[in-house]
Amino acid sequence: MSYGIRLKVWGEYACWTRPEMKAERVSYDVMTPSGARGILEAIYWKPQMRWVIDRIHVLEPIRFANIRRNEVDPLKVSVTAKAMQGQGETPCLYAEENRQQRATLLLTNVCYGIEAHIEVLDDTERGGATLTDPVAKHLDQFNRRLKDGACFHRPYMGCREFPAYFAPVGEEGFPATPAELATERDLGFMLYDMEHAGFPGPTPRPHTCTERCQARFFRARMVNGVVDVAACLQKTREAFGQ
Amino acid sequence: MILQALHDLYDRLAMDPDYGLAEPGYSVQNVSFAVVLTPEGQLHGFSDEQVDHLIPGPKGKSKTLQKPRQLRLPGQAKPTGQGINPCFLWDNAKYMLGFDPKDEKPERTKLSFQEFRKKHLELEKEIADPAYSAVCRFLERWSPEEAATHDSLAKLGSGFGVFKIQGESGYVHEQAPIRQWWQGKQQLARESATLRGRCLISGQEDLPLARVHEPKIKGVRNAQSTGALLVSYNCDAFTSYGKEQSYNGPVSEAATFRYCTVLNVLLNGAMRNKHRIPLADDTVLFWTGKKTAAEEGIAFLFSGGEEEEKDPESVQDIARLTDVQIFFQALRQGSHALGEDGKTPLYVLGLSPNAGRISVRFWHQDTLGAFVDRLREHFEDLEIVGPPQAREFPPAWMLLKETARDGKDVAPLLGGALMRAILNGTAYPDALAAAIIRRIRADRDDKQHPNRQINTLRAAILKAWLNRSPRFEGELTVSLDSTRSDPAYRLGRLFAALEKTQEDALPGLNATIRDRYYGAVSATPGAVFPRLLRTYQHHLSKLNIGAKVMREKVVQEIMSGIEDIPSTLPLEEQGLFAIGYYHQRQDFFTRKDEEKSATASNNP
Repeated sequence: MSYGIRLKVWGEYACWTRPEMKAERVSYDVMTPSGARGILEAIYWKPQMRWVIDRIHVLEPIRFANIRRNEVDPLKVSVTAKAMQGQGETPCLYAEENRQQRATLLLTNVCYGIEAHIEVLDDTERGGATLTDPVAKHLDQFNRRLKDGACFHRPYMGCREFPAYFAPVGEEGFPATPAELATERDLGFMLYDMEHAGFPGPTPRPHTCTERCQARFFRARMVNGVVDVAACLQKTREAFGQ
Repeated sequence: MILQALHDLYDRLAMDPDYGLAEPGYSVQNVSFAVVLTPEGQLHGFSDEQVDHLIPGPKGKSKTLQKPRQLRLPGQAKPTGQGINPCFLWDNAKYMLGFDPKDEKPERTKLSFQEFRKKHLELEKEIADPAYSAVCRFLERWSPEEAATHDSLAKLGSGFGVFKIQGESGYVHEQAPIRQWWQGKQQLARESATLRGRCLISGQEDLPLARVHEPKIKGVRNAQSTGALLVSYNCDAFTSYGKEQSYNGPVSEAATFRYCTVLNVLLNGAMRNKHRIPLADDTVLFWTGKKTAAEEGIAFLFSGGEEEEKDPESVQDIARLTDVQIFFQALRQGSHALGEDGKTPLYVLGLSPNAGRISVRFWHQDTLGAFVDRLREHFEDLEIVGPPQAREFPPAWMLLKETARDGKDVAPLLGGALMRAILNGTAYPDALAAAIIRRIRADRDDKQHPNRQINTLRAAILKAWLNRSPRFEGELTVSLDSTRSDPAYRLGRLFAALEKTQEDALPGLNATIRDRYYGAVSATPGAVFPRLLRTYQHHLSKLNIGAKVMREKVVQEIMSGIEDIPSTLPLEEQGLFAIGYYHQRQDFFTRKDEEKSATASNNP
């Protein structure tokens, strides 16, 4: 695919949290497409485009480890206009009084290859914005930023605490996947991404997530260390309809 | 994949009557009494539903214990909470009869019975079954004050009760029309679930989604006895996108029931000893994709003896031993000795409790054949020369016990880390070796524990750890390696030789140089060895000529490989020191035995 991009990302830890086990976090075996999208968006994103993940290569053996962390149990407090005037409850959170110790089953020493491409939103999706740039312009910007190591915010491996390092991949392509992954593995239903209420179609921005936003899942299959997201999505669609 | 694998296991276990899996809408509960009624609804009496349970004691004396009978009852576990929640056709004596022998809240007990009666009478028209009507007549007529006049009631345990009709087989809740009604009602409740969507276990679209995952999971060590949840969102911080409870991770009602039930059966069911192994802080579950002989062997290999002591239910029988034998044979000869089972998938799940939730410590999925090979590697790495009574396959809990003064002091994360190393064939955790070295330095041998400080198991763990450590070069052998030149190993051997000389020269000492100096000499040999070598000369002079020459030769041989004595030894070399010491000491003993047997055969 001539419009595609390739890059290598790696890190010491990663936690691609399974939504069903996000209290006591358990990671998926491999990076999820939405996790990969997050990394790409940290490097480059514009409101006129979207990232579509094509393939994820697993370049290090899958190894798990446990950690425990002290976190808090309420959601973060948001500052209201009333609070700013000094009325109502003070918007603050005392971590000492709201402790939750949570265990995490995470991945250690991860390295992935991401293959993705850019889709430019069409008129109906842009919600009235008139600016359009050709895909090539976005691609060039992304590749420049990738080469320079520039990012809008630090890309991370599923949790902010686990930074991701990234580098472009040259003509030679990705390194070989580990020998122990040279089989076919069914990873079960994996989170693809959130389908936001209102999508596709004009969406008011900024979008506020509601309970009508649905998680979309796909049947992930890893062949020789590669998850072909597009093919898996297609198969899932054929089998279950989406 | 954890939930998917459990979900798939349901079908296999449902076919196997040994497991007694509950069907949807039912759960297995402990029942200790039944209220027996005449077909007209008169009270006939109370029957004790407990079953005799034989517990084998020492010397063939066995004890009989009364245990509640396990029955499938309609509904999930007894609802928790402060409210009054009567169950359907079963409950405790407070609800069923308004009776509690040690009543602390008589008002509440009275209310409980009233609610129980109200609930059942309301349903009479809907169910229209003579057995059910008999229960209703009884509830109408019964007054809680009567209970005190029935002596048999006071003796009953605190378990649950059910209803039974005199002269009929089975209990009231098992009657076909009542079952049909209950199942229909369950179906209706499932259909009317408020939210529908895709189930992330089965992938099916438009299924009723579970708001909370029930039944609760019981049987995880140190978790709440009423049951904890593997999938829960019990704090706001765990939710996102404005979703409440388990809608955050959409799972259908049906799939939820299946995986929770299977998990409960593995942890707490009749066959739990085949699947559940306590390991330090964790509760480990093993299962294979289909019924295999190895399933039995795995549990035995990991719990090996510990479970039997604590839980007399697991009486060994011939069939079990045969299964274990097959598995052990495969461990010695390779996975092909398992038969055709090699490709069967195998699952290992490590769970540990945390604040009303259950967290996953590790999760491993493999084929049975690969698993056996991994285990064999593990035991090969652990193999070390030792007394003949040492176990060929030491279970994991035994290894962990060596890291702490007491079994309950084992570091909580160590069990999972060790299991992960065994299952993946990767390096053993450094924390394991550090803990062992700490114990070696802290422990002293005494009369009760003549061989505690550096025992076979501790040396074996250190050997396995070093052999798998990526930083360590060269492989440690099972017994003494006289060609090995690492200073730490040589110094360990030297220390063993010096100690032996002291023992030979001054037999019966209260404290040998090991008791006094092991800790110091293994960490800072440069500071201690010169002094030890001086005393060695004194000890040597006390030996007879033959022994003196022999010992001199050994010490010379060891010393010839040491150029200078390092002032300190880091952790890895301390491990090497311990192995050198252990190897040399074992060598002294085996040599002596061999010499003895040689002289014995020469002089018949």
